[in-house]
Amino acid sequence: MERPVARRVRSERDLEELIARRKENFRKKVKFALAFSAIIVVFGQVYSMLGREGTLGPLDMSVWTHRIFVVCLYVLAFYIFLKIAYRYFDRIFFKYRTNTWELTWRRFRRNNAANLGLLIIITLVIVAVFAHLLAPYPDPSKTVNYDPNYALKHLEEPPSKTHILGTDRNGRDMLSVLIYGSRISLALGLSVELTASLIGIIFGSVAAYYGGWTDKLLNVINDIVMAFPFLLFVIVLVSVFRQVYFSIKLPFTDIIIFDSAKIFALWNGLFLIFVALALLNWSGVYRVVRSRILSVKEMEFVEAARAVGANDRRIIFRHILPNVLSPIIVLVTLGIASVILTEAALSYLGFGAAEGAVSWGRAIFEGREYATTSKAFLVFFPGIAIVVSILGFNSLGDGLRDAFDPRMKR
Amino acid sequence: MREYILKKIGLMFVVLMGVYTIVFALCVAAPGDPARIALGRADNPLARQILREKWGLDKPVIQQYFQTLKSMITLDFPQSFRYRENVGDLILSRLPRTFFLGVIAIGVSILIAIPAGIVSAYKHNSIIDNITMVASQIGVAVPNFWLGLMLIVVFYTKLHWFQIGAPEHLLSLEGLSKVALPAITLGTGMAAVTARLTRSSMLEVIREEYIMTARAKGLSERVVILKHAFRNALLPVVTVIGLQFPLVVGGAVITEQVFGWYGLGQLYIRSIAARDYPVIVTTTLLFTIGVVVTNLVVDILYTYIDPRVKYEKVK
Repeated sequence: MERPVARRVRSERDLEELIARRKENFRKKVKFALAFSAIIVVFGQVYSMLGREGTLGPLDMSVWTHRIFVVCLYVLAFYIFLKIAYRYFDRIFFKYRTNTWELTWRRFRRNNAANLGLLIIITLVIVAVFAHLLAPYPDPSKTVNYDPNYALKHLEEPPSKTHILGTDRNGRDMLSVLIYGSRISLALGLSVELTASLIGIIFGSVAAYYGGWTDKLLNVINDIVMAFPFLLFVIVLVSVFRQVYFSIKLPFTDIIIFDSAKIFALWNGLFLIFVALALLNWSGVYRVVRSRILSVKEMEFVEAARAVGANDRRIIFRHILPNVLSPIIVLVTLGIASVILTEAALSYLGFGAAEGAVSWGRAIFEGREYATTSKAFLVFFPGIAIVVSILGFNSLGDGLRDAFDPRMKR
Repeated sequence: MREYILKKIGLMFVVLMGVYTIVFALCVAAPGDPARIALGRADNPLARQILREKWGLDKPVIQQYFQTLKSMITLDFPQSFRYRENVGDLILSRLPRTFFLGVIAIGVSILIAIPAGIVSAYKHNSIIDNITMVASQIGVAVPNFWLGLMLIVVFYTKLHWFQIGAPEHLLSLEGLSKVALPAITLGTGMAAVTARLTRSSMLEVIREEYIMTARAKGLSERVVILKHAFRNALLPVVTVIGLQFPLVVGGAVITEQVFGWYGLGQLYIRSIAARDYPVIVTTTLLFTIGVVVTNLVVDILYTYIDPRVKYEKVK
């Protein structure tokens, strides 16, 4: 739906001029917003360096407030940038604007559970991005920060003032472990889902476009992937390739092209999990993309667009893709939750993050022997972190689904 | 219909072959030598050579592939590397436990989910409804193994209500006491999904006109809800209970590990550590057959529960 153009516009040339002026205006505002947020960021960086403490030990309360203030500054800068950019983007490109996204957003805002989910996810992202500022102790996964003399005196401590959530069996602060662990969970969830949905989109559109035996072959592959007991496959894949060093050498050279030990060492041993999950998680996106494209491609509006003279690119990007995009967004959001769960389960079984790495599943794995003792808090807190974040992703995904497609409302 | 089923069964074999090939390829590509792991400290080249010959690992890969395939088809299973037992006997000795756990877990989930779903649909948008829905959201979000650990903390360490571990006999007081916590752990996750589905399916049915007719006839509310509404709302519920079978498989692996329940899942994990290929291949195939067959049965059940569903010839 188009917004009425200002009254003084009389001819096509006027309109073009107006758009050009607004584009110029938009560029100026974006530059301003960028400069403004850059100033805030620089200020925040300097401020955080002033109040930084590198040694291992309980943080001063004032230092912590400083850091939280810095994080708030960053978030504010980002928010201002987003807001200005959105407003001017909206005004400049009003010509092409459709109302769908705004309607979706309005429906989404009305849904309380979905808003709660969004809040949880935003908090989680902020915590993950600013982990180095928010954690009361330095990165526990780095051996540089590990002081054995201090740690040995603080093994498996219950929650106290110096360690708000207690310490784990290595004497590391549990709150810091959880805060840095959120990075692993989020990074793994996002990267797996993005890769998997890319595979799903490519396979799905190829199957829908070519049809015939290509379609049949891809369907059989999809059936195999879906019938495979998911967790078992990941366990086999990870355990097979993790322990043993083997490499493929190119003949006559010293170049090693495949080195499993090095690949496993990437991301604290989570790279193999990433590969396994990305290879197995695409079937949801594949099915949705395939069926949507098959049904949308035959619809009248595509025909109408073609009749009006739209080229293939316009049809794909303006008419087919937006119809496929919304279920993919929902699937990705819900998929991140399941990836986080799977990572935790694998780490619990001992096939996940490597020794010394910080991850929520790993923390439960390390605390599992204490479940029958009085130190059950060692398992309790990491679990709460997992539950809350999965709750966030699930309710966000459900809310998005309801907002995108109000007819599907349950 | 018949054609459809035959086609599905044909596809099933293709899928099974695919899964078998992948698992076999993974086992072959795995760099660890099972003979060395089995020998442990007694490892020496001669003994290793003898073991490898005995297990047929010295033959070419293609020959191994078809030999294992043949033994799977004729149900003449090879020997396990780790347990020095026939794989068939080994799995048969563990299968009842996993099956027992799975059945009780599904029972628990149905017992929780269906009443909860019906009540929350009947009292739509009430406090009970909201509580049920929040509980089901949390139920989906809680990791299985963590819930198990928390149940151990509360009901075993603190309250001493139940025992944990593997029982001698399944159908005894001890067996029931020991299966309770794992079954609740596995069951609640499934119950959360089933309850939501029961609710939404009931909500759809309750709005239909024949429910109004049934009420107008003067039938009691119980008969209206249970006989008229619930029966028609059953179809998607049955489907989802059937489709949860893979969940039981995956969940059982973790839950058995948490509770020391000596079933198939734990056998699987230990076999992987020992590179016990016959067990890995056979167990994976068994689980896959379970998943595929359940899907097929659910497909066929669909037409019997709801005669409106028909499978057209797919072009």
